[in-house]
Amino acid sequence: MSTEQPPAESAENESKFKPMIFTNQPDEETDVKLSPGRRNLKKWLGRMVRVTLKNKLTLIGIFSCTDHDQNLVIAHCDTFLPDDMTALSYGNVMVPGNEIVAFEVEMQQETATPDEKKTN
Amino acid sequence: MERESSSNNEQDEWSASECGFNDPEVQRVMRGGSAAEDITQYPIHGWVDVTQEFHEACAELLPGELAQDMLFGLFEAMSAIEIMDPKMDVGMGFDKFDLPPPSFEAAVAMGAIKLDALEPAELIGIFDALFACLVSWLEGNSMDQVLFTCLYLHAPSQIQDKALRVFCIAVRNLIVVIKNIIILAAVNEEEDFQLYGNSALLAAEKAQPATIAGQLKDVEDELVRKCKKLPPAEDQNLMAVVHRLRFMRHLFQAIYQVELMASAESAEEAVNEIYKNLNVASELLPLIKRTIERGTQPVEGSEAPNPMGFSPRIHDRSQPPTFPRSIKIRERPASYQFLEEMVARFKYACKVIRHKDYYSALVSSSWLSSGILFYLSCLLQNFFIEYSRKSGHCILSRSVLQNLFSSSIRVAHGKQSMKRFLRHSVQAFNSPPVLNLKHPVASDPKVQQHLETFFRYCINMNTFNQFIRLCGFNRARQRDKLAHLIENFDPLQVDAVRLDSLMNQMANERAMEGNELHATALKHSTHFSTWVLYNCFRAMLIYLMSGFELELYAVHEFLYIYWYPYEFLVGFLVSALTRTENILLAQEEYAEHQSKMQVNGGGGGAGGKSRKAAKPKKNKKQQRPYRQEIIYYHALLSLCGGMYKAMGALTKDGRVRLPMSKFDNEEIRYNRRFAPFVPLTSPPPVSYVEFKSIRDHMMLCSVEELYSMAAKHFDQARNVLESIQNPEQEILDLLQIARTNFVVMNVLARGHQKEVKRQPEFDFSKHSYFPIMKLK
Repeated sequence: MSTEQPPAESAENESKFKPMIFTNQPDEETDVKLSPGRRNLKKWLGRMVRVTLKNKLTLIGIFSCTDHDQNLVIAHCDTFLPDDMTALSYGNVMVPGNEIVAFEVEMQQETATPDEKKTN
Repeated sequence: MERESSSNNEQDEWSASECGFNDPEVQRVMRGGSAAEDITQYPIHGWVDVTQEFHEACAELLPGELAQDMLFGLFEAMSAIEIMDPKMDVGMGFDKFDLPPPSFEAAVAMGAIKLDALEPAELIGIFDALFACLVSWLEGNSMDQVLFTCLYLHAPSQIQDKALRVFCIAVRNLIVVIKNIIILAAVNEEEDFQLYGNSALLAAEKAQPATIAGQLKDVEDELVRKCKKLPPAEDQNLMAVVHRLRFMRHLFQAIYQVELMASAESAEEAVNEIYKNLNVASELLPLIKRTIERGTQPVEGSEAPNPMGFSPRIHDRSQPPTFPRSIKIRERPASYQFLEEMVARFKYACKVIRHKDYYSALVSSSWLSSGILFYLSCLLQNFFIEYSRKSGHCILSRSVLQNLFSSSIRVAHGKQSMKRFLRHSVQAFNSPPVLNLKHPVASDPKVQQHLETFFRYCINMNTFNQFIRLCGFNRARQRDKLAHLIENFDPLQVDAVRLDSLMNQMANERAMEGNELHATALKHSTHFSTWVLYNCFRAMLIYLMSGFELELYAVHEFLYIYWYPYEFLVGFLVSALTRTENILLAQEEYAEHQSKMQVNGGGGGAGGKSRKAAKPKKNKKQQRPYRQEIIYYHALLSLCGGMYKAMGALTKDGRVRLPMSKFDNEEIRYNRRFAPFVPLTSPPPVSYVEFKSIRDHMMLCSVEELYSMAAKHFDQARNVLESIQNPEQEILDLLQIARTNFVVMNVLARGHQKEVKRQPEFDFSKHSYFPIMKLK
């Protein structure tokens, strides 16, 4: 039965969705070709990030994945209620992009002066 | 952190992260140094706010494009909790309650909960809410998130109000007792029941389950005296409190005694006591249900099941990270409904255990009454299967039955309980003379030795034990476990056949020695293999048919699922039963006329053709112990045949939606559906090719012919079912299915709706095995 079907139809059935994934795998050659935003993301991936949500909940964990809509996946995530230093461990967390108010990365501030290094 | 800076100058070396350690645990260790990373060490370098850059960067990504950490994969993605999702997330809604959830002490200090002089309405509200929590716990929620949201349970001894204190102590003890019962029965799975909870809270006050009933009784009496002093119009609320306390007392006693049965001396007495308590409890329930609205009611929109005494989020932060957060506690009327059904199931369980004692008492008395015996043992096993269907998801009901059963066979048979139980099971099934202690052949040492070996083997294989235990699990797990159990029947069958042939061999030896009595007792023995086979067939049938109940099969698969029992299984069952019945009848005849016996008349186990054997000898009707069951299986046979041919006709008629051929491989699906039967040597597995040739042969007929063949089967089923006297509900339901499908098939055979090739609706609401077909 399947052989009778014209090849055109099978092409139609194929998904038009092509997954595109880039990772923070060190690769000098392609790095140059990447757009500045992607290069930034590449720099941040795998680092600790602090994300503040609309409801003032703070999440701290490893920045693992994001997409066009700013949906985030944070690995080994701990959450903090406002004004409460006790962490609640969550494991891996998916954050809907529209909930994010602030996004901070734990790293040396390349452009900033040494005084401003510790913003916290 | 160093990775980036070092990657430039160490290009020749593999960094640890490039070596493909994708295991999240390894990843974590590599990144953080230790699994228990201290979050407070951050920030090491400082937080850099890149919100704006982040927005811009993400905007550059195309829809569907992902930026990933290189150690991030599908597994991590799947295990992520969606934050702000009400079902998954604890953080959800925390800002609705600005204050942290109060603890017991805090609530007392704030004056949020009363410890003394509670109004009857408040008591009713708290009691009802606690029962609702109990039910929610039994439905699989964590006890921390339901029961222990009640602050009163945290420290019952500090409550001054006697009724409330005693009730809370009773609930806490009940928790411990129920936990023990469920642990002992061990038929729970993670989806049924959460065993783990805040046991630290439970440990704070000692459990004294034995004193609970007395304490409750005291409070009841006190309140009843108080009631009598009140004018008759005002005592209603107080009486409602008394009813709840009394219900608690009897429910507690019943459940507590189930736990005690594990060490009880006499099963019968204990079961009677349990039954009495259950009776009172079930009589109280209607009274309680009528007075629900007399208590304080939960505030609209609040998560607390009662305005006072509950703090719904108190344990949220102590739960494991991926734990479900949003708990719906049952409504009060629904909770009492649940308890009512549960009590009814307990009562039902008690009844059969009483039967069971009756049956074991009978076994030793006479083997002539084997008919009744079989009926009872059958009842027992059918009962387990039936009970499992009824109790469905109630873990406590299932556990209680398991406990009642195991302790009552222990009490009935002492140490070697399982061996005795198996002996009785065979004896009750087909009463082999070798198992009859009064028969001289039973004392033959050689016979005894063989039997001993066989039963020991059975016990070591654990198959029968498991069959009964398995019925305690929830339906989905049951099917899963059955698949493994069926495999175990194979070595047992081999052993049973060997035992039977040994017996026949010995019969020849005894005949040579001239020991006529022993020889006839041993001759033509297929007792043990038939017994094992019968059980195996039943397990297979349950396995296959439970797929309908669990909605595993697609409509286009129905054809071979019904074909298998029609062509093989049910037929095997009928012939096994018929053979057994013939053996029994022959033995009875032999016993009647000791000298002139006609064993070859039917005792030979010649694999009697099922259809002929069930009908002759009308005068023996009452003595035919399997008659009911054989008739039942005949009906099943016709129904399966009807469904098989109906599915064939509908498929040929183009009324069954088939999968797209390029995604389809029927052989794989067929093999998968019957995979658990493959290891068995008897019945031998049926290959897909065989099935296909049988089906193709059937499909040669025209659609109209096929429809009328199916109609004929349904008509047969109807006739068989109508012949049953005093039918149970199940029989009536099957009858309705047979009748309706008969009409539908006839309508289709006459070419109704010939143009519209719509798939009929299959409605399994009447019976879990057979649907009513409905043309839309």
